Amino acid sequence: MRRRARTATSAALALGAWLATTTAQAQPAPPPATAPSPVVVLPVLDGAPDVPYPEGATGDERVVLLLTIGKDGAVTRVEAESGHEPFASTAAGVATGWRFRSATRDGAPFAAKIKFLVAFAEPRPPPSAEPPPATKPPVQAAPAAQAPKAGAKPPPAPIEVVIREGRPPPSVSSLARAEVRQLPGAFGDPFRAIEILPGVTPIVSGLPYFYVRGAPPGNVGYFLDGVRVPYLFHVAVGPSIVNPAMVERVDLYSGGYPARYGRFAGAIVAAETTAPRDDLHGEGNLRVFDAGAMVETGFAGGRGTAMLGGRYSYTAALLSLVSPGVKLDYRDYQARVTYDLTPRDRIGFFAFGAYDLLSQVQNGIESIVFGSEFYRFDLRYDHRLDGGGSLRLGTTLGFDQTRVGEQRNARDTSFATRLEIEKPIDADVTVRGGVDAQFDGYKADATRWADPDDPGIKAFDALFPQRTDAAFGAWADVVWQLDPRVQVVPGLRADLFRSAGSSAGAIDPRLAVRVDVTERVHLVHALGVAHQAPSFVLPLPGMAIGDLKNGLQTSLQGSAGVELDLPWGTTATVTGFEDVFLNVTDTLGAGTPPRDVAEREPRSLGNSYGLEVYVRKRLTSKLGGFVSYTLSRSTRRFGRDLFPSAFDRTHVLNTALAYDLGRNWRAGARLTLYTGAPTTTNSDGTRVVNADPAHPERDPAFYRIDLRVEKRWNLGKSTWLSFVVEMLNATLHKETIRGQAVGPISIPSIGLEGGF
Amino acid sequence: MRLALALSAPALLALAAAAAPTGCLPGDTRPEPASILLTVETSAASRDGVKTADGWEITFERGLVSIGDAALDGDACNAYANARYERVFSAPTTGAQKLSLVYGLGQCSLRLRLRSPSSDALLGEGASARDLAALREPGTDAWSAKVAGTSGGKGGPMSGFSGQGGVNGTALRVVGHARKGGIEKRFAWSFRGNVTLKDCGSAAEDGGVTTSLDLHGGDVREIPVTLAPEELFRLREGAEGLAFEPFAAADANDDGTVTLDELAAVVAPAAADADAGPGEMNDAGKASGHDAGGKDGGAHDGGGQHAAGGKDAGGASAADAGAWTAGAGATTLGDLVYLTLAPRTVLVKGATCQVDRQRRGGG
Repeated sequence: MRRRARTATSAALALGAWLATTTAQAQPAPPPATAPSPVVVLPVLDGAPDVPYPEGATGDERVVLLLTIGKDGAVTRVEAESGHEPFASTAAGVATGWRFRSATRDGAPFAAKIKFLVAFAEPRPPPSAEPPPATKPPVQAAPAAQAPKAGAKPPPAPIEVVIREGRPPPSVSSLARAEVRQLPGAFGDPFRAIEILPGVTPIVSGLPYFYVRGAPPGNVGYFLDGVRVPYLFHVAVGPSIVNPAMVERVDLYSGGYPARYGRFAGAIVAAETTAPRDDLHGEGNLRVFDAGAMVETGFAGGRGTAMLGGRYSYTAALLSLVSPGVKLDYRDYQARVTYDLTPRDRIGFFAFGAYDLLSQVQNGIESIVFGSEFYRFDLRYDHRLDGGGSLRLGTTLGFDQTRVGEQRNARDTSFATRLEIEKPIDADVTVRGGVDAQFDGYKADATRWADPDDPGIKAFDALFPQRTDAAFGAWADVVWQLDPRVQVVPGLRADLFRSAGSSAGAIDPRLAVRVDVTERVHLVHALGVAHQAPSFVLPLPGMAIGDLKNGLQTSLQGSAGVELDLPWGTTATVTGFEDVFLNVTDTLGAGTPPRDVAEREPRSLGNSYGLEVYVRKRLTSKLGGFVSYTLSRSTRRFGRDLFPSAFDRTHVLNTALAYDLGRNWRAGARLTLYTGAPTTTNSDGTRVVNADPAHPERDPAFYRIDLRVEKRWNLGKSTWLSFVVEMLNATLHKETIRGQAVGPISIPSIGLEGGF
Repeated sequence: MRLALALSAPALLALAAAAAPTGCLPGDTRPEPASILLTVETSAASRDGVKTADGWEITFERGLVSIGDAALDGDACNAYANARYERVFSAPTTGAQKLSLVYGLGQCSLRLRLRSPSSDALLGEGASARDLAALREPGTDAWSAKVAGTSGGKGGPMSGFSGQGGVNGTALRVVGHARKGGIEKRFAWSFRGNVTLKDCGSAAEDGGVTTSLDLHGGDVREIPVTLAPEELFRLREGAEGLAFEPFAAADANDDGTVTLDELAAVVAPAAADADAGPGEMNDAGKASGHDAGGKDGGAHDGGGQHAAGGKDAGGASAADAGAWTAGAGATTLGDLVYLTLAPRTVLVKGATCQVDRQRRGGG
């Protein structure tokens, strides 16, 4: 059978026609009552896209490209947001040479960022097929112009347009799922992949809790579609609490983050779910430890969409074979429904939750060692504004619960609401703003069987009293294109906190600047102040320290970096940073006070500074990889006692390579290496007094190598199946923690993944 | 703003609570346990004084003890709730006072710790915040510097009189005097660090280990703990009589006050002689070549070393002192009092307990 390469086509789909973020009008706006709306013209590709069908590939595939189009119509940046290899790199490679008629507003061109769908259709033999050739034809064999004839695809058009920057916000590091799938040791999980980003310091290998530029895990805020969640990972070394198939992107703001994000003084991890789609599609995976699936479809003629996803672990059954007394269980679910009331108005309901349990049976009695769960029910209304811009009104109900001492549960029942508006004023200025409020009702079970005099229990109850906390915030920032080469994003955020009868206010100025020195050289600076109420050691559901009498935690964050667009699709970023943490409740980093010290809520002064280097070529490329290196120092101070943070790691290196072996085989390896933690705490976690801040004793350095091999079969039009073998810490290396060799903590994974 | 909060927050949370689930995380599903109430009282001797076998009348003026961290342990034991705190008791007092309350099921072994109090220690009758502060005052002595073991927070591995770097607070303080024939000898001794007490009593002699418990659901147990400072003068395990003569004889400078340092300069009496009655006791020998201050880095290690070259308090060899408590290794009278006898001032159900001692760096 002679195979004929057919040109890929791009298609305008309902997917993404309506966005949560600010979008341009995709349809003519109704005439406004007062002022005329600006006329926005979307970018239009000059000519037909000429994307060859990849040599050696099979099956159909859809690749979503994220294109940044300058005012002159040139494509200045290409990222494959979704799609598999070799389709993604093929599409991205060709798109760099495309020219567009630039987007205009009232005739004035502006930089735009669009999503561009490239749909590959496997060449199929004509009805009177000739015998197949011995070799495949050259990719140029099918010109683009033939595509409309051969396929039933709509004409090419952008499927999503985001007005503004044409580039990501300054100070953000983003991970798209398509790329993360290829990252060894991440198990296809975008959240786990955060640890490769510069500035991120692991606590223990494999454990998804991190220090970010010296900020402890309790000061890192996690958001999913703008909804605050306590964490994004299941217990221990478990996977993320959201099916990876519905995660479009994960952003890490290491400092100086947008004013939208507040009440966390360390860093922000913000994940966005995929835009609703009305075509039936889904993904699933089956692994040794768990199984997960996601399916989505449309209804009401495409006006509505419904998505259902989840994951269930059967580790309990497996563990019972090797360790009968231990039970480990985790599961999560996601459900989303959207409905377009009008072309401009959409309502949506997004519910998700996660459950984790680790218990031990001793003498026939089960005790829970670790248990937590949380659930969110988010009702949202989205409206596209006349003349561009958007509005979102969201209301969230939450329920968080964690097992604490004496086998009792602590819980948080929460209510939150938020209003966010984004409005382009002109071609160069977009104003964003919002208000939000959060109420948390904290309560813990009474102790059933415990000494009522126990001061430890009383101290716990005093630290986590039954109460209702409230927080109100208002924020605004301006995305201001001062010059075609200079973008400035000044912002301001104000928060009012109230807890257990005390109140505190905070004003957080933020500033981010991006300067395009040349087409390939960019400067990125970020400054910011952030405040946070006292936080617990780790972000656990329902666990928040009450009372503000000792004040808020404050961080002063600053970074300056250079970003270079290198040849061969490689990007390099070098960033210097310094953060100061005032009044920080970093029990993990500072150690608990010795038994003889009457501190219940120790506050320390923290300082962190360092240099981050990040060089990467997309892992979805034929040969992709990255080097992420952080050189840093993080200290804490109690009074005159200055000492290194318990997880101050001087060097943290992550590097990976992924290679397309052909015939849909792909393999990757990753090296993680970091300096041992200083021995500033005793074996029981109490502080070592007078530890040397400059040259502390340290545990030995640790490294591990993760491996991943994937074989993919394209089973037909947009249906695929992959067999994935992956192993975290394939070298079975033990990590030394406070002088004790632990592990090896290795996670093997064998599984099937598939989608349609 | 405050008014708005008061009005809106409960209403909104009520709405949220009504809509939110109660969660899947189970509550406490364990069956009802047994409860063990530990009470403390001071011995009659601590209140009324005691006459020793060698004719001395001892009067205890004040005692302070910090005891707690009561816990149940054992492979066949389900410890529901331990009581990790200490309580500071003053002696003498009358009547029983609560020490702590623990819960468990199964075959459990109860243990206690005699250790310097933490800042949140509770105060028993007659003990004051000033007493607590005094006990928490860090310091060193010959023994705390030598037998320092692993220390740390509540629940950490601690046993034996130990402390961080030998600096620690006081777990037990005993003040009193003894009189005989117009001679008065005073004593005011402080014992620092941590001692773990477990397996109290003995199956062979006392009808069972009183801290080995078979706990059933709903059982309500009460275990009395007695503070008996007179045990400092029981120079032989199991001896009925007490002895003060070796202490009086240890008053080297004859100033009427017997210090621990003076006791450290005296070789421990042999078992046979220590149990002797009046007139049978020899003069205490001086432990020549022995560093009374314990600065030799090894003399008071409690690990079985013996003083050499000195006369023993009763005329027997110092090696015989090992008869007092297996493994105590008391070589001087100071060692014997500090390492062996001080922990024995805490009696559980009238029985003495095994002292679990662990030195820094191991064993």
